[in-house]
Amino acid sequence: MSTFSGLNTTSKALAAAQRAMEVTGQNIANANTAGYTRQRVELSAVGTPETGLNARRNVPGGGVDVMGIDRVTNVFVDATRRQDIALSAEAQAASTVWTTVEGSLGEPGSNSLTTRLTDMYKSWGDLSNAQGSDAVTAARATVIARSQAVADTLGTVDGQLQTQWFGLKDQVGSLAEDVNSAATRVAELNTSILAANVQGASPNELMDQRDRLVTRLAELTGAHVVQRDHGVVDVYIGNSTLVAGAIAETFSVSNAGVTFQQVKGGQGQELGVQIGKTAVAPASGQLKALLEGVNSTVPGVANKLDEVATTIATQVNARYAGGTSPFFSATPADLSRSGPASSLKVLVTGTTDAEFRDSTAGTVDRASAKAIAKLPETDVSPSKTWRTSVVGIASASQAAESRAEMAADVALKSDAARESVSGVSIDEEMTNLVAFQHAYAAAARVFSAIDEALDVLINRT
Amino acid sequence: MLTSRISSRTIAVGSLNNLQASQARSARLQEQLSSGNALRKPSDDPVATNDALRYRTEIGVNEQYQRNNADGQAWLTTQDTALQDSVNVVQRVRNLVVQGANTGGNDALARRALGLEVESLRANLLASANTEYLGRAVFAGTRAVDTAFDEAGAYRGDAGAVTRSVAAGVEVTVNVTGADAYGDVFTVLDDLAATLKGEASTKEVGAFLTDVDAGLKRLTDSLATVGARTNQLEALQDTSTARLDQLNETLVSAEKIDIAKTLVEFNLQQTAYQTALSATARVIQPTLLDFLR
Repeated sequence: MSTFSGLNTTSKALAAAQRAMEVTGQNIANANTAGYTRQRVELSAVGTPETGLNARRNVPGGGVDVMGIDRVTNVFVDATRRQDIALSAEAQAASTVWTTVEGSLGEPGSNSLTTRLTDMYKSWGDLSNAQGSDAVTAARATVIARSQAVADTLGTVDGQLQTQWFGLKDQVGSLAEDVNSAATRVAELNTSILAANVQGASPNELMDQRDRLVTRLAELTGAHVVQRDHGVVDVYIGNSTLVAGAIAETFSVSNAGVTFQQVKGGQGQELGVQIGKTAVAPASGQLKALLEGVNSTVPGVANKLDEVATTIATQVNARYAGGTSPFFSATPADLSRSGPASSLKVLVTGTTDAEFRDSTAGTVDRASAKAIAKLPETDVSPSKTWRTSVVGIASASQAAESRAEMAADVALKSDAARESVSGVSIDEEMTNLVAFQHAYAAAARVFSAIDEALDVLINRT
Repeated sequence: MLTSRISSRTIAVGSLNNLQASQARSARLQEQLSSGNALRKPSDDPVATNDALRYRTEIGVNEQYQRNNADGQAWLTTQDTALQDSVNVVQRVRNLVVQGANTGGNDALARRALGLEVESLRANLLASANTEYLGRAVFAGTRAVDTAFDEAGAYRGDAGAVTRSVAAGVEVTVNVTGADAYGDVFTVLDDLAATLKGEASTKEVGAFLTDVDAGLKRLTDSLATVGARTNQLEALQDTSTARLDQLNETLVSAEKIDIAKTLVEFNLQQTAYQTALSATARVIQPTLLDFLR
C-alpha cells in the first residue's frame, strides 16, 4: 500500500461529503415543490484494492464511493395514491355535475316550478269561483298567464339543462385533448429517461416530471401504470395501451356529434372516448364522471322534466272541456330537437265562452276549472311528480357530495403517505447537512493529519 | 398508513386542509345566518326539501280554500239579503191579502188600490229574485242566463248547484235555486193582483192566503238553508285558518334556520377555527434550523 493512499481515501471522503451536501441542497431547494421526490446519495465503502494471493492483510479499505443519487419512492404507495386521486377526481366531478343540475331546478324558492304550479292551481280555483261575466274574463286571462308561466318555467329549466349538457360535452373534449398531450409528453419523457439511464446520467428530475404527468393521466382517466426497465413506464386505460414506452397512442372523443335529444332518447347513442379507433371506458377519473354526466345524469333529469311536463298536459287536458279539447300542448314541433318540457304551451288564447271552455255547455258551472283546481290534492298531481323528481335528484346529489368528501379524505391520506416516503423534511435535511458538514470537516482533518505526517517524513528527516 | 416519517409538506398540507375545512363550515353557517335559510339547495337535506315542497303546495291549496270560502260566504250573504227582502215583501203581501179578504166585495176602489200595491210589491220581489253577485244572477242555478226570472216571473235557471271547495273533499253548495226559493210566487201575485183589481177572478181573495203562505214558507226555508250554510262555511274557515297557520309554521321549520341553534354552532365553529389557527401557527414555525447556530 502506497504512502499516499490515505490521501486518496480522504479525497474520496471529501468528494462524497460535498456531493451529499449538494443533494441536501437540492432537497431543501425543492422542499415545497409539488411532486418532488427527495433524493439520497447512495454511498458505498470501497474495499481493499487487492485480493487473491497478493492480498494484504490488516489494510483499511479504499474510502467511499458515490454509487448514485437515489429517488426515494415506494411504487406501491405511488400506485395507491394515483388510484385514490383518480377516484377522488371522479367523485368530485360527479358531485359538481349533480350540484349544477340541482342548481338549475331553482327549488326550494319563490320562483320555482312548485310555486308556479301552485299559482296556476290557484288561478283555476279563482276561475271556478267566477260565475259572473264581470269576473270571468279577468279570471280566464289570469289562468292563461299563470299556466303559460308554468310552461315557461319548465322551458327555462330544460334550457339550463341543455346548456349544462353542452358545457359538459365541451369539457369532455378539452379533457380528452389534455389526455392526449399528457400522453405524448409521457412518451417523450420516457425516451429521455431511457437515454439518461443508459448514459449513466441522473434522470431523477425527469422522472418526477413524468410521474406528475402520469398522475394527471390517472386523475383524468383512472389510468394505471406498469413499470418497465430503465425507469420507463407504460400507461394503460383499462386494458388498452395509451403509452407504450416511447409511443403514445391517440386519445380522442368518439361519437362527438351526438345530440342532446339522441342521448335523451336512450337508443344506445352516447358520447364516448377512444384510443385510436378502439372505444375505452375510463376506469375512474374526471372523464368517467363527465361522460356519465353527459350520457346519463343530465339526460336523466331532462327526461324527468319531460315527465312532469307530460303529466301537467295530460292531467289538465283530461279535466278541461271534458277532455274533448286540449288546454295544453306538450307535443314538440320537431321530435328530434326538443322534448315536452321545452315545448309545453297553452293552446287556449281567448277568454270568451266559445274559446275558453271551462263549463258544461249552456251553464256557468266551471266544472273544468273546479276539477283542475283540485289537481294538487289528487294522486296524479304534477306537483307530486315534480317533488318526487326533485327529492330524487337531491338525494343523488347529496350522495355524490358525501362520496366526493370521502374520496377527497382518502386521497389526502394517500398524499400524506407519499409525502411521508418521498417528501422533504427540513429537519431531516438539516440533520444530514450537519452530519455531512462534520464528515467533510473530519475528512479535512484526516487530510491535514496525513499532510503533517508527510511533512515530518519529508522535511524533518 | 405510512406516517412514520413526517415531511414539512405533510404538516403544511394537512394544516391547510384542516383550516380550509373549518373555514368552509364557518362559511356555510355564516350563509345560513345571513339568509335565514337552512336549505341552500335541495341536497342540503332531501327530506326537508320534500317537506318544504309538499307544504308549499299544501299551503297554496289551503289559501285557495280560504278564497273559495270567502267567495262562498259573499254569495250566501248576497242571497241572504235578497231573501230577507223577499220575505218582507211577501209578508206585506200576506197582510194585503188579509186586508183584501176583510174588505170583501164592497169597496172596489180600496181593493183596486190593494191590487196596485201587490203589483208594485211583485216588481220589488222580482228585483230581489234577480239579485246579482259580481254580474251573476245568484238564483239562476248554473244555467248561462242573465237573469233568474223573466218579466213574466218564469224561472229561467236550472236546478244546478253552485259549489265551493272549502276543505279536502268538502264541497259546500252556496246557492239556493230560484225555483226552490220563489217557486210560482210571481204567478200567485199576478193572479192576486188581478183578483184584487177585479180584472179577473179565479178564486176568492181569502183563498190566496194558502198560496202566499206556501210562498213565504219556501222563502223562509231557503233563508234557513242559507244561514246554515253560512255557519258551516264560517266554521270551516276557522279550521282552514288554523291548518294554514300550522302549515306555515312547519314550512318555516323545514326551510328556515333555528337562529339560536345556528348561532351557537357558529360560535363553536369560530372557536374551533381559532384553536386550529393557533395550533397550526405553533406546529408550522419551528424547524431544526431555529436551534442550529
